[in-house]
Order: sequence, then structure tokens, then C-alpha cells
Amino acid sequence: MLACLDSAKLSPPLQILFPMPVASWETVLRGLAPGQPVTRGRVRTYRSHGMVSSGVTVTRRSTHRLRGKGSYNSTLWVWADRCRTAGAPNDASALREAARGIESHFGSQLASYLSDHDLSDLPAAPFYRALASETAKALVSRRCLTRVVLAAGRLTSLTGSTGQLTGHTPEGQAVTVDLLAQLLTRRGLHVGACLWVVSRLAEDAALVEVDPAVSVRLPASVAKHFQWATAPVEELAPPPGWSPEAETDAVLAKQYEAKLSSRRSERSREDLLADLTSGRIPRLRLHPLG
Amino acid sequence: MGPSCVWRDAIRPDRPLLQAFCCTKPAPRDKRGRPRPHLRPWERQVEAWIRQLTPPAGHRRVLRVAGDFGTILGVSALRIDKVLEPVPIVQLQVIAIHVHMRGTGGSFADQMMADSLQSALRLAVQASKTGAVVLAAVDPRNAPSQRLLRRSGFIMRAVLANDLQEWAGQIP
Repeated sequence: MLACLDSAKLSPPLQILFPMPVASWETVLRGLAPGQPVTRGRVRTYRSHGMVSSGVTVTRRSTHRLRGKGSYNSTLWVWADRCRTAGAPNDASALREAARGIESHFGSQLASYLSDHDLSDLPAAPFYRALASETAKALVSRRCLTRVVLAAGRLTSLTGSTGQLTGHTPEGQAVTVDLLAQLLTRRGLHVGACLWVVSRLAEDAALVEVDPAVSVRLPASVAKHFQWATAPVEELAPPPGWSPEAETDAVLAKQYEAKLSSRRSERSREDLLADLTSGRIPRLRLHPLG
Repeated sequence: MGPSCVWRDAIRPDRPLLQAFCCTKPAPRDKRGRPRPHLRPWERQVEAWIRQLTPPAGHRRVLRVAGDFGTILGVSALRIDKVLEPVPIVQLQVIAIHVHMRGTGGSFADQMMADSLQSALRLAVQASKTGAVVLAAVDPRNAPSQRLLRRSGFIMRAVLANDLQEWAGQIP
């Protein structure tokens, strides 16, 4: 699963790969209770136990109207839990304190920005660098970080049942890590995506999590602690036969039209009829629009 | 949805709006500003296909749009694929929502699916049938669409020759 390539000394970069400092309450809850159902009741329990705060409540706006509310938390809550399970309760307490501070300090800016932007657009926010920097500062000097982080890097291939990450461990060793393709697809990660791989033990089982990361320029004083978290310098090679001209609307539309009009084979028609007559195709409920 | 969003069949004046429809983020660029391969090519293909549509939809086809003050926020396209006795097949060609409508937890997409199924029923009735099988082909990497279809009651019944997943459901 893990292959060490070399242990060449890395030069200190300013631009590092860093996980998203803020996530929705659902994502945070998945990090706190992996494998458990994501319910509002469960998050209330975690809040009452002080393992996560109520976070920043965002009222989402569309062009002309409200679209609902969302709740976002600092991802330091998840890091705190990872440190706790790695046997570092003091680090966990310090990270929880830092999470509260970050949510309090950036709360109004987050609420304002996320009210009309998607969370995936957060790296474009004017305060993102400061937010990532404060989050990174909280993680600096946490010794448990090297115990829980397996590697950080870029997904260089995704074929069959595995995807391969090329990056570095916190010790600075260049590695390739094979990850389950299902896990990567579930997190919406594709070739070229940057991520941190985190692992922890649950009794006799190993739990591997992937945190999507973005490239961010941090102050040198903070970035020097994360110099291992860099993407491979070389850019990913485009797929064979790819060219910018192949991405024009006309070409892509033709490709999609060809997909839509691919003829059904006689056998698949028979299979479909068999599924239909045996009742394997469910009846859909029609909801009138209101 | 608020009262400002209207679900309707696309008409000829919608063509410029369709040409500007945007259901995915632009392709990344390298340091010199040259385009790189798109991160979600399946979304980009759908966007390109929608941009070349000329409403109104033709015979045995439906093209629905969700409009909001001169902007198209969602597009769905269906057609009768092939009559397979005793029921017709309605192919759900496209369900696409504008990038600005993302982040609603799937509620807008659910509304769109509900409207599309009503349109599928309309197509089936036009074909002098009472019901139909609705089929949708989905890229295996397209997790949001798979979740939408699952929520709507579809099942994945086969993997097609071009690696697309075929999802199916019956109406009514």
C-alpha cells in the first residue's frame, strides 16, 4: 500500500497543500464518528459533550431569495478527535480551544461569504489565507500529527479498484500510496486532486480517511512546518490524445450525442424486458410540483 | 422553489440562454494560462450538449427549463427512445442544474426530477401508452446524479458497453 521512493531533503516551500479548514457539520460528524449515520441527534450529542461546537450558521441566499441554512465548523474539531484517539489528550484539548477561537474570529466573514458561495469556492475568499494560516498554526507542534497523517500529495492515477497518491509523509519521505478507488470516488476526488491521507487504528482494524486539500500560500514561519505537504512539481500529463481543441463545445456535444444514441443490443433489450416482466424495475412515485 | 422559478417547456427565445448555460466550473489552467483537461469531463460534455440545443424540442422529445428572471437555472431533456412492447422507453437524456443552484442539498435537483418524471409521463401518454420505463445513463464517476436517481426510486440495472451505468424506473 505504501511505497517509499526516496528521502531526499525538501526545500522549504511557501505554497503547501493544506486540508480545507472549514467543513459542513455533516463532514465534521463523519470525521468524529466514522461509519456512523450522520444525524442531527448525533451531532447534538457531540455538541453536548463538547466534542464539537454549534459552529457558524450560514443563511444561504440565492439571487432573489433565501435558500435555507447551513452549519459549518472548523476541521480542527476532527483533528482534535484524531489526536485523542492517537493518545494525545492534551493536543486534543488545545485543538478544540483553537477551533473555538477560529470559529469565533472568522465566524462573521464565513457567514457572509458562504451565504452566496459554495463551500468549494472558499479558497477564493479574501480571508482564506488567514483562515488556513490560523488553522495551520494550531496544528504546528502537535506531535500526534505525524502519528495520524500518512501522506499528503496528489492523486496521479485512478484505475480499476485503486487510486495512487504521489506525495510525501510528514517525515519528508517521498511515497506512493494505493487507496481504494471507491473511497476516492465517494469523496469526489479525481486524478489531479490534492489530498491528505489520515489513518488511525480502531481496535484491530485500520481506518483510512482522505481529506481533500487545496494549494495555499502560507507565511514562511508556518509553511516551514508543512514543507513535506507539497504536490509533485511536475504537472500531470494530459490523457493520450487530449488537446485543448478537443474540449470545444462542438466536439464535446458530438461525443455526448454519440453516447446518447448508442444502439441497444438485442440481448440488452431482452434483459430489459425480462427485468420489466419480473418486476425488478421499481415503480417511481410521481410528485406534483408545488 | 420560490414563485419566481417557473418550470416550462423551452421555447425558441431560450436559445441564447441555453448557449450561456453553465453547469460546471471552467477547466483549470496551467501557469501560462493554457487550458488543462477538465476535472469533471462528464459535466463538461453535458454542458456542451445543452449549449447546442435549439428549442423547441422535436417530435417525441421534451426539453424543460427552470427559469428565473432571464436566467435558466436547470435543464432537462427527454425523448422516447424506442418502443418496446408493451411499454415505451423514455430516455432521460440530461438533468443539469446551473452552478449557482448548487449547495442546496439536492432539493432543486429533486424538484427537477419530479418535473422530468411528469414530462416522461406526458411523453408516454402521447405515445398512446399509459406508462413507460424511464432509463438514464450515468457516468460511474458522477456521484451526485447517482444519489439523485437513488433518491427518486431508480435502480442501477446494468453497466452499458460504454461503461455508463444504466438506471431504470417505471412510471406511473
